[in-house]
Parts: sequence; C-alpha cells; structure tokens
Amino acid sequence: MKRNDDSPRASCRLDSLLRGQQGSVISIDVDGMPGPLKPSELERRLIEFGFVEGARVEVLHEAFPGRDPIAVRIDDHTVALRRKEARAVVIALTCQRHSARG
Amino acid sequence: MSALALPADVLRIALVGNPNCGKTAIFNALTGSRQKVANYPGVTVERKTGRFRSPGGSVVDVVDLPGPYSLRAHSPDEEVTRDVVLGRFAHEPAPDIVVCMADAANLRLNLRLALEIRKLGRPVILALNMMDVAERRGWRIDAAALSAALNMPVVPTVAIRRGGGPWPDRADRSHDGGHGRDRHPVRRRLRLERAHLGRLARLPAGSRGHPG
Repeated sequence: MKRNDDSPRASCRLDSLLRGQQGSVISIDVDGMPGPLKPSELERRLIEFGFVEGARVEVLHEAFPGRDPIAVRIDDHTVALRRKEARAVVIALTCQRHSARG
Repeated sequence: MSALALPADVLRIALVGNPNCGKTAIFNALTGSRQKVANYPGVTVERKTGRFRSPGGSVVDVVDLPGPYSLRAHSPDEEVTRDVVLGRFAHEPAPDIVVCMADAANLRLNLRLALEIRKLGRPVILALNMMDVAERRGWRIDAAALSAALNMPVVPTVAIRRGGGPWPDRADRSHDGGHGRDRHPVRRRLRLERAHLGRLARLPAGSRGHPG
C-alpha cells in the first residue's frame, strides 16, 4: 500500500530524534522518567511548552559536550530541554532532511 | 514607587504573555521607554513599570512582566509574574486590567496561557501581537470570533523592530505629516498602539474595582 508523504512512518522518542529530522507529537509518556521533576509535573510542563498532540517538532541544536541539552522547535517557537526529559515526548517521524540546516 | 501615592484615577495594566511574544516591545511603544528587547528567553527577569496618557485622557501605569509559560510559576521570574497578576505583590494592588499578549503567529501555545489567565477572573484583554508575521505566514485570524469565543476583548497589534518590518523609512516619511517629529517607525507605530490601548483601556473601565 502506498503511503502519502504526510503519513507517520515510525514512532520514536524526542530524545532520539536527530538534528534535522522532523516529527509530530503523538503523546507524552512520563512513566518511569528519571529526573528532578515528578512525572505529573514533567507532563504539565511539557504541555505548557507546547508539546501537544499534532505539534510539529524538530531538533535544531545539540549542546556541546554530551549533545545535551537540546533546542527543539515546536511549531513556531523554540525551547531547550534536557535530553532525558525529551524522552517523555512520543513523536511520529514525518520528514528526514538530507541536511541538518534548513 | 509607592502605589499609595498614585492618584485614584490611574489605570493600572499588566502585560503578561509567553516568552518572546513582544511584551517588552509593546511596553516600550506605549511608554516611550527603551528597555532592551532581545530575542532570547529570560530577558525580562523583573517587573518594569512605565506610564502614559491614553487618548481618552486617562493616566495608565503599565507593568511589564517576565514571560511565563504558565502561572504555576516554575522559576523566580515566573513567580514575579504570578504574584503581580494575583495582587500578591507587597504594596501593589492587583492590576485593573491584565493585558494578555499573544504571538498571533503561534496562537496554539499562547491561547493556553490566555485561558489560564482568564480563569483568574480579572478583567483581561487579549492583544494579538505580531499580526504582520501571522499574515505573512498566511494566517488569517478572526479577532471578532476569537473575542466572542473567549469572552474577552481582542485587539490585533504589531510592535515592530527598529527600522524593520512593514514600515520602511520611505513609507514612514510619507505618513508622518500630522505627527511632527515622529518619523521613527517604532514611535510612529507606538501612537497606533496607544490608540489601541486607549480604546482597550476605556472598555473595561466600568469594571474597575471588579472583585478579583
């Protein structure tokens, strides 16, 4: 069966998105997330940052060293996230750019 | 500045909105201030105040607040915003009007905060800033429908950067006839914002002293 270009190809976590790859948010899954924030608090903050279902996301930058934190564009604004907290965002890959620069 | 010394007819408004939605640009435009506007988060880390006279003659005190993602206050600067809006700031009554600033080009995020602010039960005006950017991106926003849906006044605004945006110098010169020295695009635009805000400021005037 033929897929059109907009159909999601695979789901993954935001922390594993490579620079230049784009996706759209499917859900937030905070189960078992490590870190200073309570899972419910992490979930609310991510929603307040704009990680809501259908939001388009792209990893713009990765800090040096350790590629952490990361700068993520959500629709038309940009936030910085710790990579381990970005793991709570479940996304569908929509597009892989050949170049990291847009 | 002591709030106690203010004349009773001073209207107090607070600018609240997500980071980077243009609060400080509007603040500067309204008050003629030159607070630094920078395009990175956390620029406004404390409250700033200014004053202007609206076209209707009222004296308006403006408070520019740090941009929160929510009123739940994750950080000290967000606590300032929450406390001022709720009237918890010492020696400073709650603002008469909360002007909720929203980036019109990123409404989905910004409306979430607007709804949170609306829940406070204070008089709220929604200012849709960066309307020029939204239009360039092909967004058409029905301010009247939005106003009806949110049950709050909605005013489109544009606070542009110095020398940039849709008011190039040439256009500016051709329109400055009645405004004397105001050839500066930002100041010129400011006049428009003042008119907007004067209109805004008159709208909920009857509800001043509204129980919070």
